[in-house]
Amino acid sequence: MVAINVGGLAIGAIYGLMAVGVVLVFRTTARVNFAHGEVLTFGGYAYWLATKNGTSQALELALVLALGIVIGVGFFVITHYLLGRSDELTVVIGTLGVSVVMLNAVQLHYTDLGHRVPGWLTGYSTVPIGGGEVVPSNTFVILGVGIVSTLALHAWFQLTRRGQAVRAVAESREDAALSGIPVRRVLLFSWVAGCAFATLSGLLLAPAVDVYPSMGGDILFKGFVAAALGGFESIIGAMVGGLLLGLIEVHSNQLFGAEMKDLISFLILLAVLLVRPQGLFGRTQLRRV
Amino acid sequence: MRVFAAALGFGTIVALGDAELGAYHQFVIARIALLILVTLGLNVLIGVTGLLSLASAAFMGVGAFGVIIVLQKTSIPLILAVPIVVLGTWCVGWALGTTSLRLSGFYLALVTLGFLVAFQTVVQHGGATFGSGYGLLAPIPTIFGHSLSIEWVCILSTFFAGFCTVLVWSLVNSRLGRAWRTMKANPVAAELAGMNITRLKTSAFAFSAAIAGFAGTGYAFLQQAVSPQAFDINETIDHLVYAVVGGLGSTLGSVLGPLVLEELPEYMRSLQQYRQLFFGLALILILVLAPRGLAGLVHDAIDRVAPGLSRRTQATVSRLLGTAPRAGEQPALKARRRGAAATDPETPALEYRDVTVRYGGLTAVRELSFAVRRGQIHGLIGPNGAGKTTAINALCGLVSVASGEIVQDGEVIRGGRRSVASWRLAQHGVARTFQTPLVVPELSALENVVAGLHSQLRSGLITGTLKPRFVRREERAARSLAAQALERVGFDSDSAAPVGSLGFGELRQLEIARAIVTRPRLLLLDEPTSGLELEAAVAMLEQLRSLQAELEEALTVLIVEHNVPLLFSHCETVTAMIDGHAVITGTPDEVRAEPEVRSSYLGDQLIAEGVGRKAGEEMHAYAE
Repeated sequence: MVAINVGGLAIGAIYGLMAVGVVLVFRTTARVNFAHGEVLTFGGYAYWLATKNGTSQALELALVLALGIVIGVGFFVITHYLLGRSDELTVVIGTLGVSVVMLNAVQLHYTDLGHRVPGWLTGYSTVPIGGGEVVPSNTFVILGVGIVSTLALHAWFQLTRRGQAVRAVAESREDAALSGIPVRRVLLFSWVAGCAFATLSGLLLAPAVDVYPSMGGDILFKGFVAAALGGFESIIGAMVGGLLLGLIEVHSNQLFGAEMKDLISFLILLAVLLVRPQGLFGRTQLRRV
Repeated sequence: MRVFAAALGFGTIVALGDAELGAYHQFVIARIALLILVTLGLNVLIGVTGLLSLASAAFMGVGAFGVIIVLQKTSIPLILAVPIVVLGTWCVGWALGTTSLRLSGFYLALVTLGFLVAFQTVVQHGGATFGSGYGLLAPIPTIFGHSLSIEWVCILSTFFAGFCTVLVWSLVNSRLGRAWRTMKANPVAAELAGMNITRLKTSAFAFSAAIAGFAGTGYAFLQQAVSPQAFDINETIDHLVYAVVGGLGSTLGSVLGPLVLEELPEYMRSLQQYRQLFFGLALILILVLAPRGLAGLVHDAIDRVAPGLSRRTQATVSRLLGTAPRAGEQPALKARRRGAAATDPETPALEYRDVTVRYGGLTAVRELSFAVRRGQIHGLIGPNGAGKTTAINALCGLVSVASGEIVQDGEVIRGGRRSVASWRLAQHGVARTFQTPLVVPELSALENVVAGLHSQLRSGLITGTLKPRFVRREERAARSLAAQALERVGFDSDSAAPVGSLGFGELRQLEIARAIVTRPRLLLLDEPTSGLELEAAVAMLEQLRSLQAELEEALTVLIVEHNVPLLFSHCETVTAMIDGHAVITGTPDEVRAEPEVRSSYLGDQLIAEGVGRKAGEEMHAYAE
């Protein structure tokens, strides 16, 4: 029973990390990135390639994060320069296009085959948790990294001057620009940080589900539901939403079977939108229309 | 019924063309025809309404699985099963829309993505009814006891695609289509033109769902089997690519997209594995390089080769449809009004009673009280940040009133137990303009003004599509009235051209024409002279005066204005606001004499004369 809950929290932490990345981008740029799942996939593949070539574990992490930064810059260029004059809707459709290209590039180059990878830091080791149950050590890495990085990001927003600048841009881009905040740089930062969170989730998820082309796209919707649970506004809310969703999912798997989990997340999303559209932690009333 | 006949004719022509082809091409064309159908629905949603749905494949699946299940499980004949299933898809779309369409736009994308995965779950794991994950075989379709050959299924699919293309085109060019475009360009302006935004969105979404469902029923019989994989996210993305590549918001685009993108791969079968990659790249490239898609390129090419042709075609089409104004016809629209001017002439046209409005911790309007007498031009002045626009926004329902009430003609419309929804204000005889004119760039000037008449017209989804006599008549009347309104405000540009290229002054005129075309009882003007030359501003105010004299029902005007001297010379009464509070309401002379106004406002004005000009120049430099 403990193993189930721990596993649920771990997959929830992955959803949470995805949601944090999505919210990070959405808050400042007002754009939803539908290619976020594919960025995760790229992170997973980068990690797999790094482990295959036997680099050190610090280098593996550095590689994955560096890839996230590069992809983030790419998204910034696409959404703010190439599609800079387009409306919100066009940019969202553009990110869908990017996701299709990324997914098919991976599929064509690496085929649909799955690849098993060891856990970061922990390899294939397991931890006994009493009652004869064991869980992969990677589970705790996921939980630890997920929660610590979310809290660190939150603290950075609240405590540092630069974090304040990001929050100011999220509040109002015009006002932030008038108070001398370099808005462009903040937007670039949001894309870079959001994508780094995605590739990092790829590194964490890969040992649990193997590396395959749609590993990210398959759980994108879960990331969105986690973000909606958190009200699409708060970083902490996104992570808590993710953990909650993970827990609900493992228990519903027990009750209704694992194949029903997508349906369950959909029903959760509908329930949230109908009952509490501002999310579990949203304070502000949502913008009407 | 002309539209119906045209649709019938067009459908028959393409179906006859299809019948002439060999069996294989017949199948290919029929498949493309169904894709055109889905794209039409999706494109109305994305391009015209500005909403993104990712569930078009799922709705197609609902139609395909639905019709087979109905035929298998019941004895309902095909000819009834299809309408039942289409109606069912409409209802599913409606229900799904109500969960998210009150919220901001991208929530619909989330919910529809969720619906797509949920649909996949149901058809893959829903048990034997859905084919246990392997899909279902379609029964042989029969109509009145005759079974249809696959050739007939192809011909019928092509026929209905052609038929629906004309109908959708007609719908987009109706009252509803106009409202959808207005709402996409500016939801706030749309609401105050009398449009119920949530309902418009829901109807657009349900409509696109039903069209996809209809295409799905055709698909089931064309493929003779349905499988869950045929309706997954890749299929939705295909539909999206068709719409974008063809041209968002264009009926021609919905036809061109599938035609070009599906006919092309027929010749490149060896490159099949690169299909999705190519589609993704095409999507991005079109968005970046030619956002109006193939249809946009076609339109530009026509304009270059034969300038004026598209406008002549448009004029001919609207004459054929019977919506162009006729010489000698007296335009008449039955006013659809709620509430009425109070009979007692002493009842104010508008009254603020202790109104307070807060933005979070900031109190923008504080216990504001003043009354506007009927038939007057009433000025509202005050320094920047005094809460003038907030006061108007509170009346329009754009911000909520924390305490106090706003009363129009003796009826409480804000702050009471029952508030009037923003979109109903038009029926209450309230019209307004905005600081920066909010118009729909894709529509012509005339159409923009006709959009203002939304609450006075009656056509809906079906009547707007088929355009029976009463619709043609009301459209003609609306166009005549709009032309008169444009003339009255002195608009002398080409009223048939899209408004994207108009100057600022003309946009102001256009907006005022849109407001007065409804013959409002209460007209709210938010800084109507800003950005205008002084002469133009004076002319505008004088037009208002003559308008007041002409209308049978007393017109009351409330103007928020920075240009104080201009207001003092044109208003009967002026209210001065300072820090969210009304300091004085009186004649211009009384207001001018009030010491608090002098020190706080006119004093600032003197400084502003010197400082403001410099700031203004900087702003212009910034804007350029």
